[in-house]
Amino acid sequence: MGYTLNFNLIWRHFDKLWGGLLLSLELAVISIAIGILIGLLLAVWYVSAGRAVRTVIAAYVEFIRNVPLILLVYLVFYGLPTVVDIAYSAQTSFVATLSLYSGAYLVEVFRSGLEAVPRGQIDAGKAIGLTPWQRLVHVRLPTMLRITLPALSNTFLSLFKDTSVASVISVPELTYGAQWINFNTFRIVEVYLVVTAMYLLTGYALLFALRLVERRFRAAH
Amino acid sequence: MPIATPANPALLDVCEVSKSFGSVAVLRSVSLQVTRGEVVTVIGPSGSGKTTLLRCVNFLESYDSGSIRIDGREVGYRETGTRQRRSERDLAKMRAETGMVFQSFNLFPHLTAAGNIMLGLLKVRGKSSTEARAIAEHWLGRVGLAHKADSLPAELSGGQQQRVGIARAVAMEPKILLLDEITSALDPELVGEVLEVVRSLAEDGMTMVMVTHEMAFARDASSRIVFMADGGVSAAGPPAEILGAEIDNERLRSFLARFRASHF
Repeated sequence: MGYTLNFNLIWRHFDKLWGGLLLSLELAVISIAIGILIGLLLAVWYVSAGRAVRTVIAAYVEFIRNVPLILLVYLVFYGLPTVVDIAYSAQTSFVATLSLYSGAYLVEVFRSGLEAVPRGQIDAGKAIGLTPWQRLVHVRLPTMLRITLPALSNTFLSLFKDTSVASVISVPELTYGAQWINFNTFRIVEVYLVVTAMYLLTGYALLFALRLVERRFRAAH
Repeated sequence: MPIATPANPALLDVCEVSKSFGSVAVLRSVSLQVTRGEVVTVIGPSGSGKTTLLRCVNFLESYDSGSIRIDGREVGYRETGTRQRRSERDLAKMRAETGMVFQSFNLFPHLTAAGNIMLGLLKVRGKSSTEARAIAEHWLGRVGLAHKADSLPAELSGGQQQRVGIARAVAMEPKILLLDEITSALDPELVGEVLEVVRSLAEDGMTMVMVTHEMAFARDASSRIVFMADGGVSAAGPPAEILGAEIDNERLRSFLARFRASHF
């Protein structure tokens, strides 16, 4: 009670939030790009491989899905360098973690997408004499992409929000920027209101853009 | 009626092919010879193995014993040593020698009508994109769809999609064309346009094996009708004989009677 909102201090430090937002987006984009690569490779491998490979891929997916992201971030940033002799920045470490994280989810997305490609289309590819690789590239992947696009958009949106976890290892993304301003100005309500609005607006804009892309893809089918 | 002779060897030679799904025998020692330019229609009740037989011819299905040869070459298995499935690469080459048209069209949804036809020409036949486009346009013209070259399958009617499906198969210049109930998924008013295309291909001398329920078409357009029942060839002969009144094959008679009762 009696608390007066004062946003002046927030605006004075707004560069921290703006820079943070851009970094959040950057982290999400790089991670999903690597994640898509991991997901595609493993999904294609999974559907064509034997039991041993499937078990290993399934173990990776289950491990990632059942461990909280924040713990994975700690494990990679603090844990890994103490066991093996590597050094990386917090940002690199986080991108690696988020890539592996999104990769695991995308393996599932792509795998079910590949399995949802109608058998008739694969038969048609066989019938004109396409090799298995050609069927994958020219028949299965395009159809899979169309099927999985909505799930891909959702994954990207989640990842964008998940970048806030990077604040725990001091990567100066949006949430970290908010904490910095909070520590230095104590305008806790104002700063988190502004940051919430920024996440919300950006997320909404992304969703809108992705739905547009999806619609264009759907129109083409 | 063309019968395979040393001077006119069978283009397609199915010899004692058997296949089971688990304990269910779907093909029981099926033999069938088709010579160049022949149009053979396969009729029979559902579950009689017609479609499975057709799918064995381009090895979309494997078979347990017997052999299937096209132009003297075994389709799915290596010709030397023990019976061993061909490599995927060899299978792809063999399959490119046959064309297939499917009941549910199976067009590639992300490619235009021309794109559907061009894919095999580009990737399998190694044509340039200009050549492939010209061939696609030629065949689209043949099936009356020159104006739909750049339409996606979703923008075409069922009959139009199936005509693209036929164009996609024949553009590859297959030695033999397999047609698997290609009008069964169509609205009745669209059947005619598709059969018209098949008829014109027959006139060009295209060798065809066609599984169909269109008896009138089988009677008018085929050189031979094969009646399958319970996974085996129950009767085979020229249309006049198979569809004629004097047939003494009890199963065929009851099939035709039931068929006429439901269709006329």
